Amino acid sequence: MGPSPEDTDRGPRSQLTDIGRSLRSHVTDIGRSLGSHLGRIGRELPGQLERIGRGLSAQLAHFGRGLAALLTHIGRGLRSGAVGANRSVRTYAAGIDPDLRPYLIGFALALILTAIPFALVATNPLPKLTTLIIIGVAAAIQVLVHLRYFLHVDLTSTPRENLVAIVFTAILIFLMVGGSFWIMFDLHNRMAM
Amino acid sequence: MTADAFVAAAGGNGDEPATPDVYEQRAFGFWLYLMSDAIIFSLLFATYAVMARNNAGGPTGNTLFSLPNAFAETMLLLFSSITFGLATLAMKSGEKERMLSWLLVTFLLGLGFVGLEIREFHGMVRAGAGPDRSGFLSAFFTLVGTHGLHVTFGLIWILIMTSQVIIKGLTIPVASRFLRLGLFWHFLDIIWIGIFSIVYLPGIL
Repeated sequence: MGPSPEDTDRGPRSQLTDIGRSLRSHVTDIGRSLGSHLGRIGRELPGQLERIGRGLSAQLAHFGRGLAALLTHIGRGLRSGAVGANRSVRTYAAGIDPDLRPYLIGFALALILTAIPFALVATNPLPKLTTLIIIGVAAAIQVLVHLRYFLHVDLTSTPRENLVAIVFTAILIFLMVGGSFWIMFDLHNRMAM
Repeated sequence: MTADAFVAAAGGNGDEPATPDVYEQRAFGFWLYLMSDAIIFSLLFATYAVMARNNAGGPTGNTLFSLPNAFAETMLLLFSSITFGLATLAMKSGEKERMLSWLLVTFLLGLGFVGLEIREFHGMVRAGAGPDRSGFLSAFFTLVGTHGLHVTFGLIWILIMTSQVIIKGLTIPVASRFLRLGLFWHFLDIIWIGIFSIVYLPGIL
């Protein structure tokens, strides 16, 4: 559109100029506030990230220290027999933050119960059957450790119906897996005859 | 469970009209789902145990599995379990920032696990030991792949949870979902104990 004659269109024209001016000032305002927001986020982000990082590493260090102490205690106890280990861990665990305690104990036990079978397979010092039995026993204990310390399943505070569901599941698994093995290995032996 | 104590104590404004009873029921419903999942996995384990020696003249676990790789995967999952526990503790004391940070660490550890598994599967398929090679490998890929798929869904769930915590805050429904995610994540670590004890270690031995 070409420029309109000045004297006829003065009213609408000045109105348009007003709108344009206010729009421009709005946009400048928004831009300026956005800029200051972004600037603030940019300024604060490194500090915030650093704070979070520091918090995480402090917690991790705390956890690591607790873990190291716990493992030392378990080791010291093991040298003086299983009862000693139990007592040593109990005395030590009494001193840790009660919320953190189950995770710490569970993690320490899980590490040990993972390290034993992997080390046995890596170095292979025992007969094959013995190693397989140890792997199985360590796995079974570790499943119980995870249930107890990570899923917080125990006989007093877990609702009864949850425990019933676990027991029912265990029976189903026993029937189906045991039955499958019975049939398949019996078949295998008969085919081999 | 501890979930209910927290739900009762949190007192935030929920985004759904519900009483603590409802969350208790949901926790129990989710528990039943986990139990049925445990049955699925135990039958996959049984299938694997039956098929483990049917390698059809193809490669066996001894040549295919790598002990360091299995150990790394085990450690990643175990550490992710513990960082998830720390996120749960942070949530219970209302520290949103710390909770999100631990959740992020958990996500990265889980991503590392899935990455290692995909690399392992890829290497096996390239070496001609794909699921179509033998009964042993079909059972292996079904069992370990099902677990990997669960972990992948867990990762997606972690992302969804993270955005819900950021957008909605630590409301009662969000906290209740988060506790169920915790059950799922710890459960997957339990299944993995079975996988390294039944598949990898005896296979390498």
